[in-house]
Amino acid sequence: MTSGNIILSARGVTKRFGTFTALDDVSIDIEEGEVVAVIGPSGSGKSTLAKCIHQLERINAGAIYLDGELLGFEYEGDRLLPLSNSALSRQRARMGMVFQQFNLFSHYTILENIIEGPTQVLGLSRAEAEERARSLLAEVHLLDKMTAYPRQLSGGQQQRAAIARALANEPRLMLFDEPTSALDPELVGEVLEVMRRLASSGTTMMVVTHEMAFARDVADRIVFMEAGKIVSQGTPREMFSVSPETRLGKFLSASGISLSGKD
Amino acid sequence: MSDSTANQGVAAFAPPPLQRDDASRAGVRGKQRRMAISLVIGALLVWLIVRAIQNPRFEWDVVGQYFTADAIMRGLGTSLYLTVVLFFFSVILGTLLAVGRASSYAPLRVFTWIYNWVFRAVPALVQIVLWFNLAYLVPTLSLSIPFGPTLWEVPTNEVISPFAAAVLGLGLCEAAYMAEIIRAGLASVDRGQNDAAHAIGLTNRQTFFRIVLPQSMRFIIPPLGSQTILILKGTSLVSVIALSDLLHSAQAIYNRTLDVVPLLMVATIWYLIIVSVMSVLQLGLEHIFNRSHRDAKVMPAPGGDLL
Repeated sequence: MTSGNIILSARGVTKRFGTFTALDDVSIDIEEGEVVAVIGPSGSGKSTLAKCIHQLERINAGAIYLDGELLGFEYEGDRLLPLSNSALSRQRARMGMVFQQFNLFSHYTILENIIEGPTQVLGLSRAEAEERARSLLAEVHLLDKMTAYPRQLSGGQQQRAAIARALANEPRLMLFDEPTSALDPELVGEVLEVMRRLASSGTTMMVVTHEMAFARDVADRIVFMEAGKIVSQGTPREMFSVSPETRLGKFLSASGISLSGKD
Repeated sequence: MSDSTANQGVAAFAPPPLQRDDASRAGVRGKQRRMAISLVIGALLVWLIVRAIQNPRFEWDVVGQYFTADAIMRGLGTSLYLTVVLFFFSVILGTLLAVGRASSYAPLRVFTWIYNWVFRAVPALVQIVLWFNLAYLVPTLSLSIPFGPTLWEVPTNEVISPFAAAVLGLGLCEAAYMAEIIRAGLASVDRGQNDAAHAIGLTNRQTFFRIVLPQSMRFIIPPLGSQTILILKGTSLVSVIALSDLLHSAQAIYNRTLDVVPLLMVATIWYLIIVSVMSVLQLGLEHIFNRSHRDAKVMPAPGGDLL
């Protein structure tokens, strides 16, 4: 699935909130077409990593590159400056983000939610944007909800619409921040199903998740984080056959995963 | 067979089953008592209104005579014009103040806090008179380079007309209240909406005008409506600086004819009419900005509408 072409590269990223260090010298590369699942206990910094990559949080140290371009900062001579607001917005538009709480624009219909990025950021005409929105809505099975407002949809439907909205800018990289954690258990499957199809269509994805089965079945690589650091990473096969004595092993056992070792 | 006998046994003791929609047609408890209370209150109201109309001291014929008099119409026009100007003045300034209050730039936050503190503390009537007498404090208004030459100069009295004093006195004060209303409205919008807007690449300006401000309207409009009604009634204060608003026009007539009560009734009825129209407009606006929250249906039953 992967091409060996690195899309995203984070180098020594550190993020502090006051005296609390949420990310501590984190480095990660994501290849084109790769699906990376980030797992770890609450407060391990995995959501913060997604937010820092998407430039929703400004990092304190390190550097993040998207297709070789430094994100969030620029050099003026040899002086490092934060990017201007408009340049930052252009960089963000090249990545898609799906939030735990969906965050659909509540005053817009589903269609209006999806065409907002293409019309306001990419400068597409309304007709072009609507055509794109229609094909995305067809993919997430929500064509019939096009004129509904977010509040009229179930959580699963809202999250599928939010995925369509994030895809509408045709991003290079899709970031998912615990996309199923706010859903009723019976609605998780429909969202994972959409994400599964996205993954198999070659979309580059980083998924922060507690869904171990999804990580095992869909991810090319699993990254385990704890206390703001990447503790270990590897293929699902490697990660799910660790010794129960390791920190990852203890986390997986606590998450209800039986470590077969023979998988 | 034994089963059906058992069922019959149960049925004999059970109340008649509710048919479809039976529950929604159930009666209201205490219906008679409510009717009686409504009738008594209604009768009292009718009696009060009839007594008022019959009271010869209201001089309804004089009210009718002056109700659409030229001076009253001009005064009404001034009051409405002043209200519209004040509305836009205070909403625009109030929005700037609200944004300043939420700014990450500390001096701006301090400035807007001090502004709100001062302009909400000083009574509007005092402010109107102070602005009207600005010439006493500052005889001329000039544009000059500090410690350098004067570029432009004009006597204060030429700039501060009664109308300008009214707009400044009432508007600066109203803007402080508007700022609080708008600030509360903006704060009511979920932070996640900001993140989502930034995530799809909207700039700060687009995020504010396209996402946050429209959503805050649902929270802003009800208090904004009340505030606008207060602005309209507040315009009656300008009669102290001899600006011919509705109240001042009525006063000018009764100072001549001594028909004090009838002319106050003329003004009262006009205020009542305008406020009623404004309330209807407010309802309309609330309806528009509530449309995304109006017909929220019950969520589909689990398993009923999956994929």
